[in-house]
Order: sequence, then structure tokens, then C-alpha cells
Amino acid sequence: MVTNRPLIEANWKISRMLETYPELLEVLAETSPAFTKLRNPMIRKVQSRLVTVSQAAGVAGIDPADLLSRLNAAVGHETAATPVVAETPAMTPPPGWVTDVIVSTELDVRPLLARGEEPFGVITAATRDIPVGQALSLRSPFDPVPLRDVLSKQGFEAYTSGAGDDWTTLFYRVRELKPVSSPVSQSAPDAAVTAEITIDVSELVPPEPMMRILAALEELPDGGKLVVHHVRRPMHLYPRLDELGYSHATTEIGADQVEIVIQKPLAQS
Amino acid sequence: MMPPSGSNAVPLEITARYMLTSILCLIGWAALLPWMLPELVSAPLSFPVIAWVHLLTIGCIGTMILGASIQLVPVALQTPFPAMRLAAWSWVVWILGIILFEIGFRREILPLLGPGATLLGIVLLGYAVAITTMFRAAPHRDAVAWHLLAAAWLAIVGFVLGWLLALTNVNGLLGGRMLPILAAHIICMIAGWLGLTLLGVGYKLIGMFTLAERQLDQPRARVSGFLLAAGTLLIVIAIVLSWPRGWVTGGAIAIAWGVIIALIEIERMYRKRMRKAIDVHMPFAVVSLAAMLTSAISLVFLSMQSHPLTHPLTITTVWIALVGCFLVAIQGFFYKISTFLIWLRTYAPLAGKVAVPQLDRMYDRRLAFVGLGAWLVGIIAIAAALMGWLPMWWGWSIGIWVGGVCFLANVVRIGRHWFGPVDARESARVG
Repeated sequence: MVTNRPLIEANWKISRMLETYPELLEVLAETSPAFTKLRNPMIRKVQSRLVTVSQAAGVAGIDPADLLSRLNAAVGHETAATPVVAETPAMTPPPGWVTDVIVSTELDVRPLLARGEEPFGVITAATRDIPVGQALSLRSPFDPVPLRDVLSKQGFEAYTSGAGDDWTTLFYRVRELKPVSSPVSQSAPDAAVTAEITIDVSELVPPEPMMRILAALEELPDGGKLVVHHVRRPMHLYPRLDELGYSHATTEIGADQVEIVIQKPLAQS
Repeated sequence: MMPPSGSNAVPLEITARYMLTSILCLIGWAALLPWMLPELVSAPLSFPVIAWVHLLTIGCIGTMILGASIQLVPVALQTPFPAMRLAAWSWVVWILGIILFEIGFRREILPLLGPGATLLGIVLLGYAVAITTMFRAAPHRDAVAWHLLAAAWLAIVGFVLGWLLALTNVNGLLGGRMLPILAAHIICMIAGWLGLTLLGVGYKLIGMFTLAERQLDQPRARVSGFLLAAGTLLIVIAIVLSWPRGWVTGGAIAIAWGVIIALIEIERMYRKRMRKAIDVHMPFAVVSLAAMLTSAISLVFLSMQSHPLTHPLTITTVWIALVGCFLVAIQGFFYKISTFLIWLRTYAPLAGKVAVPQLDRMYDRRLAFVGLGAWLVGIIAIAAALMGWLPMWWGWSIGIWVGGVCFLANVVRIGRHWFGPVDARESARVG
């Protein structure tokens, strides 16, 4: 079938997909029981903004290429199944640290999600105080694949267990985020990057993207890098970044999608 | 190819000057309303009425558009403002132009009209050149970009016509062609400049603040903008070259059709928006778009009749377009634009360190809606009086005054944040 409707891609957020193709909600729900909770508007509002199609496949435990192919077929695209890198590890045995890890903080975000509130801020605040060698225990109504990706870049290893709408993930801090001590000039900002955080502000209204970005930059260690996904170039943010001495570069990565890489300067010694 | 990251933002103080000037002109215009209403019926082309109308069109609406554009067009076109010096000196030249123009008409010191109009034209030309430069540098020339470009150059066309009219008041240049050229000037400025600007900016702001940017059908929006621009130009050319009335009607139909397509697009954006809450600008936008549709349909009727320019339907149509459409839209978008810009100045340096307010904490939402209701009553009552359906009475101004006072009260609330963070508890109570 020939169609001029856009092809769904693995890196599309579920929210974007449902915004473009609302009819795919039922296709998702029929594909896996893990997606049936998306029928709840409150849950859909929060979770669909956090998860890409590829990550959603990981949550449901199905092959991302199969899911992508099924979704595209449902909207009239006859596509050959293209291999897609799964964004969740296959079920693996628990790592060694799981048995004797000290859980310093427990957090249950299920009530938060049920109210339609976004849990990301609460979780990142909780991870801030986790010392090396200890863990955060997070209970959630789904496998938090995107969160694992984000926190892995902040020095955490993760182990998830559970089923249905009750999942427990241990986020175990294996290292502190500190810049390497070798002196690096500002003209070569990428050389000292040890921490990288990725945030997506494309579904926030002004000034929330700027608030989120500036808050993330506050959390970032010296020399760390913040990768921001947005629907437009944040023209009013650039002067603020310059004032703060951050280096930044913007790249167009797709239709209505830009990536802004911001690097925090190293502290003056 | 992406342009370089634009760090050279225009200082917010320049925009603030424009916005403050616009508000002061609005106050002056509203204060004179009761005295001008009878004049609108009896002598709509008298010098005091022309001065009063330009206090609204140039002083309030035009000034607000210029001030907001300096900050918003870079966001819409995704490229930095290219003329920092223009932004810096333009306000002084613009204000001087308004003052000379207003004094010239109000005091009938006609030699001031030419210099006043010339100063206004210099700023408008600089604005059009700046937008063209940004348009050429823009990574994507979407429907919003085309709207802004067309609006800027139709403003120049409308200005040239207005400049000729200003000179005619001094030396009789246009002779008996003055009234047709005045009609072309009015249509070019209202439909061409203000209409296209409002729709272009509206697509962008509505998309940003309701998360509906992807819902805008770009080809349809471009067709809508093209119909508006082409219809306006057709009317202007037909009037200037004395073509048969059918050409004017054709232009008016194109404008009305463009407006209808735009309304369909905006309706879909609202219906499919991801942020489902009723944003403060939405009721204002609905009223404004209804007024735009009303005046566009009225323009089609007028184009098919041989009414003089002073006919009640003509005056009422212009009233609905300016006060019902553009002033209402400006109020609605002011709650988004001014709060965001002041937030940038006062709270962006604090974001991430301490709790900072959301935009809707910076004004009283209920007061905004009460003001809109009163304003709407005033518009309808005065429109009915202009049509002769109600007796002309100064008291019809009260609706506009109450609406204006509510708006001004919120302007003051928002403006307090300019000088530093306002106590969070007080902001919360206000919100």
C-alpha cells in the first residue's frame, strides 16, 4: 500500500507515535499485556512521553524490529523487518552485587504514576544521595528501561525483576561522577567528559524546557556533558549558557528534532 | 544546514520599552473612546479620528508587534536576530515617528505628517529587511516563516500607500484618488500585515504552549497564508489601477477563504493538543479568530457593494477587526509572551538553584477572563451602535474600560517580576 503518512521509527517516543497515529493504542494493547495499561489516559500521559518504541519493545520483552514492523504495517507501511538494536538487555542472571547490596533508599513511584505525575525528578533526587557501593530500590509499574539508560551514564548499574505491573529495580552506584584530574583546556571541551546525562524536553511547554535544562546542568559535575533533545533550537537559552561559560553545539537530527550538547566547564583550580 | 548557535540575543530591555509604549498608547486610546464614538459615526475621516485610530494601529498594535517580534521571530525562524543596532535605535525612531504623526493629525500641523510617516517607514523597512535576512538564514522555511515574511513586506506596501496619503494631506498629491487609496491602505495593513502576522505567530505560539506544533498541516497553512497575501495584493492592485469591482471581490474572497483554512488548522491544533488544560490564551484566541472571520466575511459583502468608505458597515468591520481581533489576540498572547520574557530575565538565573514560578503564577487568570468578558460586551455593544442598531452612547465604552483595567492590573502584576523575584506565596495566591 502506498501511503504518505510518516514511517514510525525506533527512536520515536510512544507519545509522538500515538499523537500521529492514535489508532495504534489498540494495536499496542493487543500486542502485549504490558501495553494494556496505556489505555489509562493518566498513565499514558506520563509513560508514553518517557519511552521510545524500541524501549517499549524491551519493556514488553519482544523484538523491537517486530514491534516496529507491526506498528508500521498497521498504519499502511509495508516494511521489511529492519534489525533494531534492543535497548534493554535480555533477561540475565542477577549480578554478584545483588545478593549483599545495601539498599540505602527505597522509592515506590507507582502512586505517583497513577496520579499522572512525572517521576523523573523524584528519582533523580533520590539517586543523588546514594553513596558508592549502595543502591536505590525502585518499584514501578513497568520495567524502567529508559531510566536504566539514563542512570547507567551517571555511574549506576541496574538489575530489574518483576512482572505485570509490579517491577523492582536496584540501581547500584558503582562510581562517583568526577571529572578526571588531568588539566584540559577549554578549547578541547570533549576531552575530559566523564559524565553524560541525556534529557528530552520536546514535550514540555516554555519555560519548562529551560527549567529542566538548567536544573540538569546544576546537577552535572564539572566537565560533564548534557545532551538535550528538543523540537526546536532554544534561542533564549544560548545567551544564558554563554553567560555561564558552557560550551554548546546544536545538531539537527530529524524533522522537528534537534540535539543540543552542552558541556559544563571544568572548575577553576 | 543549521545556522550557528545564536547567542546574540536582543536585550530584553528593548522589547520592554516597546511593550510599555504599546500599553501607554492603549490607555490613551481607551481614554478617548467615549469622545471618539460619536465622531466615528458622524465624521470618521476627520483628523482627530484618524489620529485616534493611528494611536491604536501604530501606537498600540504596531508597537507591540515590533517589540515582540524582536524576541519571537528568532524563535520562529530558528536563527538569531541579525540587526542588533537596528533593534537598539529603532524604538527611539519609532516613538518619534508616532509623536510627530499624532501631533500632525491632532493639532492639524500637517507638515509634521511627512517626517512622522517617514520615520515610521524607516523602522518598518529595517524590520522587513531583518526578517528577510532571517528568513534566508532559517534552517527551515515553514508556513510560519512565510507568513512573517509576507506580512513584513505587505506592511511596506501598506506603509507606502499610507505615506502617500500623509503627503496628500499636505499637498493634495492624490487628489480624488485619496479615498480609494485609503481603502487599499486599510486593507493592506489589516489583512496583509496584522492578519498574516497574527496567524503566523499564532501557529507558533499555539503549537509551543499547547504542544500541538506537529498538528499544523504545513501545506494547508501555506495555502492559507498565500490566499491572504495574494487576496490583499489583488485588492490593492485592483484599487490602485481602478480595475473592475470583481477583482476586489475576488481578493476579498481569497482573504476570507484563507481565514477559514487558518481557522480549521487552529481548531485541529487545539483539538489534538497534547497539553489538554485550557491555556490562558485560548479563550482570547477563540474570540479573536471569531472576530477575524466576521470581519473577513464582512469584507466580502463590502467588496460587492458600492458603499462609501464612511458607511457604517465599513466602520464596524474595521472596529471588529482591530478591537475584536487584534487587540484581543494581543492581550491573550501577552500573557504568554511577556511572562516568558520577564521569567527569562528574573527567574532563568535562579532556575535549577531554587524553586521558580511557572508563568501562570505571574498573573491572575480569573481577572484575565473577567476582562475578556467585559471587553467582548464592549465590542459587541459598540459594533451594534456603529451599525445603528443601538443608540450611540458613551457608556458603551465601559465594557472596554473594564476589560482594559483588568488587563492593566495583570500587566502590573506581571511587571512586578521584572524588578526581581516576587514572593512565592504571594504568587501562588495570585495564581
